[in-house]
Amino acid sequence: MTRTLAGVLAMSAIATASLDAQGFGVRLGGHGVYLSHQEIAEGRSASGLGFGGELRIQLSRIAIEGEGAMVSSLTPDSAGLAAFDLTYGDARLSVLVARPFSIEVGAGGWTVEPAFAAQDVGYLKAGVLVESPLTRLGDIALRGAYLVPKFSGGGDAGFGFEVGVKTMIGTPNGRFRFGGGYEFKRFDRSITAPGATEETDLPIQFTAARFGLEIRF
Amino acid sequence: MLRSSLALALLLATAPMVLDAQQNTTVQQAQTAYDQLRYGDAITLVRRAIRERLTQADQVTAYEILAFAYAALDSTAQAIEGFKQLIFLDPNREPDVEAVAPRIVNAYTSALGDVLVVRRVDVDSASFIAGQGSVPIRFEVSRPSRAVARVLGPGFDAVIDSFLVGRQGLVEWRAVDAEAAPVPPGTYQLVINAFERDNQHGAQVDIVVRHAPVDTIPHLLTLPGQSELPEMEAPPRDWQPLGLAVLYAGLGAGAALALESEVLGGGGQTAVFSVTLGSAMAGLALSLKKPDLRPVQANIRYNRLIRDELTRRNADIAQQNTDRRRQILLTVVPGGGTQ
Repeated sequence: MTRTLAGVLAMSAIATASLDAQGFGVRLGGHGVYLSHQEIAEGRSASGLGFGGELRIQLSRIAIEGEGAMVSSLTPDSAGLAAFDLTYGDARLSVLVARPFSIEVGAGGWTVEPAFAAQDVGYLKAGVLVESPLTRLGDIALRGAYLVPKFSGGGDAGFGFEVGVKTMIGTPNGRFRFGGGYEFKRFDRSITAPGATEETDLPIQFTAARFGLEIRF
Repeated sequence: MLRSSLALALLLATAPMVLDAQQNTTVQQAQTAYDQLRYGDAITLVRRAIRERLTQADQVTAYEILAFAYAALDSTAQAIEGFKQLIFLDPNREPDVEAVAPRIVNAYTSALGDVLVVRRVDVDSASFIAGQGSVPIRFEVSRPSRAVARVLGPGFDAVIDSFLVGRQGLVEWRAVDAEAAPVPPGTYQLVINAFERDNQHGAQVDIVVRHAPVDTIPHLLTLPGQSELPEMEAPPRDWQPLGLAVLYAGLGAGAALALESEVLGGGGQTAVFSVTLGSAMAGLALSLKKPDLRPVQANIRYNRLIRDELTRRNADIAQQNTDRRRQILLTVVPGGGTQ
């Protein structure tokens, strides 16, 4: 998985250099990550620190954004649960409709290692991105999206939602920026066991917070 | 008696006026006799001196003593004749109306009205570009007459004006020849002749003409009375960054709290609140930071107009300087010689 992430970052760098030559706006960032994962019931939670990267390509009113993060060991908050690794990825395409509002669609998910230590989740999403400059030195973004998930252990989620905030400040020319943000996701997963007539609620909450540096090319 | 004494005092007061640098002994004796109120002796001595060879200055002094002495003796006709001779010799010499007796002034005025002379020829100093200016020359004639102004100089002889004059006349000399080319530098004689029937009188004054290149006009760095306005200004402090940061981060945190599952509790609350607080702090910092200067479009347009006008005027100046380098500055000053 580490090699996969390194490959993504290398490809991002190559893409950045290529697009910069064509006059596109490209941002590349690296950040530290805090992940929190909760599942099924209060107390069944795990959290940990890791690292990640982000790439954003801006072309006129369209922006393509991808980010990834990995935490090598999410430590359970309760005894009796095993620690696990988590690799998270998210890709988005946003189109500016009327400043500061953009519509956003994307896909993402995470996988855990070892398998079945927690649910692997994949999702499609559609939502709104509101992005405003604070001054020439910074900007802030707020996003919300409806999520359509798929779980490795089966089940459905009638309700899946994501909220995110990101604040960056930096140099007047916008070349360097630092700051942080978070994304909070909730899935109301439910599953009907074989032979059972009633659904069992197995909700999932996932929070990814990050703090890091971006470079614009 | 009192009136006679007063008149005598006035006559005495005029005595210094005729004490010019005279050489002739007889004229000096006549002056002494006049000063001692021996008017008869003064007249006799002057008449004797006139028969001698006198310089012009002595002649002037002699006729002045003669006229004053006759006036003192109430011999008005002889006084007028004396003044006429004085006027012909030196048309610019006249009694001081504030210092001499009215009878003397009246005699002089009568004499002046009887003769035709050109007097008080006055040339102002002037500098002008050849063909674009002139030097004014003022003069007086004692009687209405036709005045003819003529200038003679190195390779130049031209009548510059001819006109009827009542008393005061003005001639403008452009110092150019018939082809409108500037006259060569040098000393010129301006002769003004007055004609009235058979009477004629002329006066001459020297004029010096000098040539010099015309000064060029310096280019303008600014327009007089107009200065450029600042194109950037510091806007007032703006709390919008803080407001936006609190709004966005607050909405995000509120939504995250609202979406929290009742079953699972708030596992990621610490991260959410940290980012929210950080966003608010960033907004506060950006609001407290000194605002960036912003352009003032009205001032920018105004400055552009000023610069355009400055460019236009400097182009005009450059064109004028091109012309000026081909021109000649004439300076005309009185030469000092007058006849």
